[in-house]
Amino acid sequence: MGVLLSIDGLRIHFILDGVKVRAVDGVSLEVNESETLALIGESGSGKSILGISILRLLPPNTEIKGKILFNGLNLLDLPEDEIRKIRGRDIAWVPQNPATSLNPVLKVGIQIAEPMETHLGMDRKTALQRVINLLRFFDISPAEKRVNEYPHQYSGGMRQRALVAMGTSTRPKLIIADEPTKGVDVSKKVRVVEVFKKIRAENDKLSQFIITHDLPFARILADRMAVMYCGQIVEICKTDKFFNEPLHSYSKALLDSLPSRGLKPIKGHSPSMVHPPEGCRFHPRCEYAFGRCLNEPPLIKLNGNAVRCWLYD
Amino acid sequence: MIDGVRGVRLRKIFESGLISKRRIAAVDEVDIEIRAGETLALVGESGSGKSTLGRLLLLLEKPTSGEIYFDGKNLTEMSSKEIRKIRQKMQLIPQHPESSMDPRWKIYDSIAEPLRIHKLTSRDEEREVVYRLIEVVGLQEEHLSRHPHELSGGELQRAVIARAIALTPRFIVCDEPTSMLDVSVQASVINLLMELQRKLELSYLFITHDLEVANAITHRMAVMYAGRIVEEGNRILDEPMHPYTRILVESLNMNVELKFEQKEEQRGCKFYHLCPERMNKCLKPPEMVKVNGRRVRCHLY
Repeated sequence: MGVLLSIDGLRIHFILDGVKVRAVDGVSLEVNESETLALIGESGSGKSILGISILRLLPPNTEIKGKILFNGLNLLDLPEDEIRKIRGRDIAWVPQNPATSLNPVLKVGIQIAEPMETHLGMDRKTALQRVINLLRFFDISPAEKRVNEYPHQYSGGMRQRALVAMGTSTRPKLIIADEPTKGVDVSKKVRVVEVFKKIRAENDKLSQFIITHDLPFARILADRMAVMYCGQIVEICKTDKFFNEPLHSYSKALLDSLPSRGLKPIKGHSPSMVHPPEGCRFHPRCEYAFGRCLNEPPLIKLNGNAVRCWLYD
Repeated sequence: MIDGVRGVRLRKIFESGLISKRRIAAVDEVDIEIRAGETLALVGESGSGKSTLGRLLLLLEKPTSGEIYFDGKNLTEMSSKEIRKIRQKMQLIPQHPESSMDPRWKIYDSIAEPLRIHKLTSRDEEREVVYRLIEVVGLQEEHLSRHPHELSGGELQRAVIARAIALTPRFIVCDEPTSMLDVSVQASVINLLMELQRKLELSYLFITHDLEVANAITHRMAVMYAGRIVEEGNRILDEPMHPYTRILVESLNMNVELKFEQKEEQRGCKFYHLCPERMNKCLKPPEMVKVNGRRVRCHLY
């Protein structure tokens, strides 16, 4: 099992009105071939920005430092026409909001066919035939009729599956999904879980990078969890281990805030990304904080897991 | 008469079309009671009619038939002038805080609006009340001069809560107040709601599709399916009786899929076509029966 994606010392800063927002501040992580990695963290922790940066879709006022290696190729160094060959073909993106991510005036079939026409050189007719198979695979029926329908004729769940179909149509090596369960009913989440299990079963080389704050959802799908807090990764850990014995005190607090585990809120407020706390970013809210926490801890490796906390030094 | 809110045989039918009419009974023959100081969690999938039921109880939606009592007074017979007065005591915390605040108003004005509408305070007193309210919900003074888009989801929901309790209500319908929030923020907002309930002796109808949230908040729960309450009582999740509730509880492990569709005017039990335990009897509509302090609408009992 090789490393497919390797992020090294990534920093993404936005300059807004002369103020520096540190959205991603020194992130290093790896996604292996045929692995599902869940990136979890609260909204505003920088996880979506991290996902978007892999596709190089950040706005021009962004300051990016570090490396994003995909199959050994640094995506940040590639010229625009090279990255366009990878984006949508080798790396697919399933956006957060299925309602606003499809073009309302184009038939869904044509939209799903587009990446195959662009990247695989298929003609419209062959591509549409493939689309019908994809729709069938994702349980959007009757596929022959649905291919000619518009997004507003699809239910929310079908729109999302259509986006997954679009993402997987080019048989990418990596699929990045941004909050696939946001706003989905508990009873309907099963369907989303099934879709992600299905695409992995169908292509066992596929790696998945799932950005979510839905812990039960991540638990079912992910092999490993990466926890993000205030622009930094504070823990990377095998999924079982994370739910049974998490390492970082932020991970513990996050688990305790689940309704099934007592609904305990994390004390204090989310930190500012303009002036993040000195030293460990979680120390003002951490119940184990001690003198050393005023210095920034490194990501400490520990039996295949990693944690950014002085308690493990 | 018992203190609290009570809906009796409530129905709400939505119609569309002029010639061929489609009729959907969003709420169908529902009896519901929330006693003073109590929380009732109303759970069900999207489309089951739970939000409509909440809006009916607040008279934001006029029931097609049925009665609503608040402290023993029949609201459905009142004049709009009388209802306006009663509305002070009944409030709503909506699902999307960002769309329930005027984007051009400062948070201060939004929180003060109910006080102004009901002309309860002078401008000086108003200031005092608003400052006390934001302290109660855990906002800072600086938040008051901001606009809704300058607040985070959790802060905005706190502001909405401050506005909802401004008139010292007795009954609040919380319509999925945390479904758009992160887990840790959700925990703090729910803790705030529970604390307010103790301090202000509030009754809540807590609408949610998240069974675990419902279970963490209260032990009294009503399960809604296709416009009807199919089961109601204490500790339902520990021992579900209705086949639908059982499937709902199993779906927590994310290994069962629920297929939900509301058929027009289906006769018999509404859950018939999906029920694993259906019998011939189920083609007739089941009545609500009382079993061990539980109310269940199913022929099995």
